[in-house]
Amino acid sequence: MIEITRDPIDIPALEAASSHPACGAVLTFSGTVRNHHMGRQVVKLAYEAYEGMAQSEMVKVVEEARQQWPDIRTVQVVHRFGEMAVGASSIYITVASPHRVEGFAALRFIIDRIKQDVPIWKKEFYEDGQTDWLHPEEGCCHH
Amino acid sequence: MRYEVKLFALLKERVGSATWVYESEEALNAKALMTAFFDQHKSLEGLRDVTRLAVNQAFCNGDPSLSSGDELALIPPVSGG
Repeated sequence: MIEITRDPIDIPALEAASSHPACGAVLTFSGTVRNHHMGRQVVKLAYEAYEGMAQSEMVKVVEEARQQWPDIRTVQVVHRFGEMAVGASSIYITVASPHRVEGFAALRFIIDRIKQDVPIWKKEFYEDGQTDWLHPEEGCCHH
Repeated sequence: MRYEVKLFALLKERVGSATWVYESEEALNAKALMTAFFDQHKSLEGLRDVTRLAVNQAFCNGDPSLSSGDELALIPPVSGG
């Protein structure tokens, strides 16, 4: 399952489908909404997505991971967009792998490439009423 | 040629529209279209060198020529995850 959705991510369903009988390691990553950025209090976020391209770029990222680590089996990636509160999961990734080393490497590759190439943008809403779009390479907000 | 370019995030907010339309007498390549956009929107200068053009929902490589039927989008640095 690779998808983007406006709905809250159904984490129990992803966990239930994450394992594979040939795999001794299931790696999970949940990206969650943080309550601060550069010293400012964040009250909520909104993610905007270029939906069709975001979907196809996520598929490409997973295909590249499978080429680099051919042993990995079940891979699931769900990215949520729209408004969400502090603490919500905005992205959930699972990777099942026969052994942990390639699983960790593949998972890290997937999240790093998503943060580089999948057209989804974060807008932060601060306690003082101000808002900011985050465009990391502009020089304002490296993560 | 008439080009319709999808805008997102800060680009959309500053331009005040989800689409930027550009009319050109001659067919343009990707770089020329991007130059025209950023020349028109000086407040977005900081994003000029880091924004990519997507053609038909894929990042373009090099400087392809564009057709008026292409689905075009300006992709400023992304911040998903």
